Amino acid sequence: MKLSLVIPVFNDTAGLSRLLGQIAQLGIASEVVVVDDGSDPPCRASFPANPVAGANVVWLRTDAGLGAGHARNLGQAAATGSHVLFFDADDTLSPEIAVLLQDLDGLDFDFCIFAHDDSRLLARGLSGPQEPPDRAYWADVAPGERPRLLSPDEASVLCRVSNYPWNKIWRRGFLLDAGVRCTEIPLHNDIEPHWAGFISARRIMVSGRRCAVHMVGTGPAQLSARRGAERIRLFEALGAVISRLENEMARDPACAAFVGPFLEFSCRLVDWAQTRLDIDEIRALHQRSHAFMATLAQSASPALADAVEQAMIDEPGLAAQFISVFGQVR
Amino acid sequence: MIEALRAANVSLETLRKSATKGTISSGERIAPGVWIDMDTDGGVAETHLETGAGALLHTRVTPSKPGRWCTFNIDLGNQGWSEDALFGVAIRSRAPRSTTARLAVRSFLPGGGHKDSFFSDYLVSFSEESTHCDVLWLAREPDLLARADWRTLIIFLDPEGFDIRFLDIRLFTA
Repeated sequence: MKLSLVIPVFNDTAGLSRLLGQIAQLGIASEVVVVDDGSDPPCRASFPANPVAGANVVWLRTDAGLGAGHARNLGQAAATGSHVLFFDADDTLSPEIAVLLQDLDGLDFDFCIFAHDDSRLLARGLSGPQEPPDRAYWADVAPGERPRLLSPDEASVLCRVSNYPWNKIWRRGFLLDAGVRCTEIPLHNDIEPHWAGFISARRIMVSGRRCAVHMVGTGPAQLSARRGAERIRLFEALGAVISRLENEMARDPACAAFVGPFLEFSCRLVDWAQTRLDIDEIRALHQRSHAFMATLAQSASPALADAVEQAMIDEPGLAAQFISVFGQVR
Repeated sequence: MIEALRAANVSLETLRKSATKGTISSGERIAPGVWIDMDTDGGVAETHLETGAGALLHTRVTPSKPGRWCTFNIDLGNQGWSEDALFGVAIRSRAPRSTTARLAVRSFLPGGGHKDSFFSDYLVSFSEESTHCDVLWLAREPDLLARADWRTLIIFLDPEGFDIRFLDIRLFTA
């Protein structure tokens, strides 16, 4: 397996330095594609010509600062390895990743999702993901350390975990053939590849090896703390997933198994997003969310579309309402 | 080298002033000393291109099956480089879908075969106009100082398909 690591970075030379050091130490990559999304000063100036012994390091840069989604797409376009791992400069790899890659070598899969730790829990001596639903979904699937194929039922469970971009090893041919890419929007750009992967992949593997540590800070730079109208662009990502769902369902009706999880995810996301918007922005969010939910429900069944239409109320708690409606109609 | 470079820049100037639209086959000259090469075994036989409309060249390829290569080529002639310290390119470009490309000078050796001297930076094109500028320091590129029958500047485009608008390309030495 020739692994290309794609790393978007913006003004985080320290994080990138730490990560490149880990990659060199673990010897896991044949190629590292660093995409500098407009850092000032450019990150490359802080590194020697070949900062990862044994791997070819490709430096790409855009001055425009177009966001992590654009940077990942750019890195993916330049990657040449048989497999791709997107990783963020502020997260860290664990030595388990080297073992997982050995286990995966020679296996046929579209992508392999692996477990991770969260720095907030590690600080309390605990392992695994931070969010309780994520912990439950992983427990339901109960993967061992050795990678194995997910059944369709298991895939419709594990697709519900947080849509991190860095917990999957992708076969590059699958990314290309299925057109899996990030939405090029400032926030929520990683929704599309996560769901597109689960919807379009035919061979998904899972490993319980915790191969990464999600490092979460509490300062203002934390992405989830950002507020503003740019969050409303999340519908571009959700819309792209719906289009894919409709296309895949036309080809394989079994893909309808992802409609429920995606509806639930979308509702929860809309609910969460409105806590980070001003009142005028919330109105705009509601208008978009109604149209979106109607489209999604229509793609599932006319009965669901009718039920959703009747349930549309401009109040918080959208998620609970729609999930309830969906449960009744299903 | 100055004469060869002047000829290349004249060819680019010809493109800059032209306004055409259509398809072109692999190897067919777009302007004197300027052409696109494609791996025709890969299912691509021609590329769509357009000149004018504010761009030096707008070219796109959507192969039914990706070939092994697709290159944009500019002849650099066979004159020596020994009097120069560097050879540089400046490219303004834009692409609706982000894409990258490597650039190299290919030296065709007197005894046959060729050697590529790659520029260190990747050309990155995306939805906004951007400028790429890079140089080869000739003292570090022995293949460029050695005798060659011919040299060509090559832009290695994505053989899996691309849509790129070269707004301007300038070549220079110093």
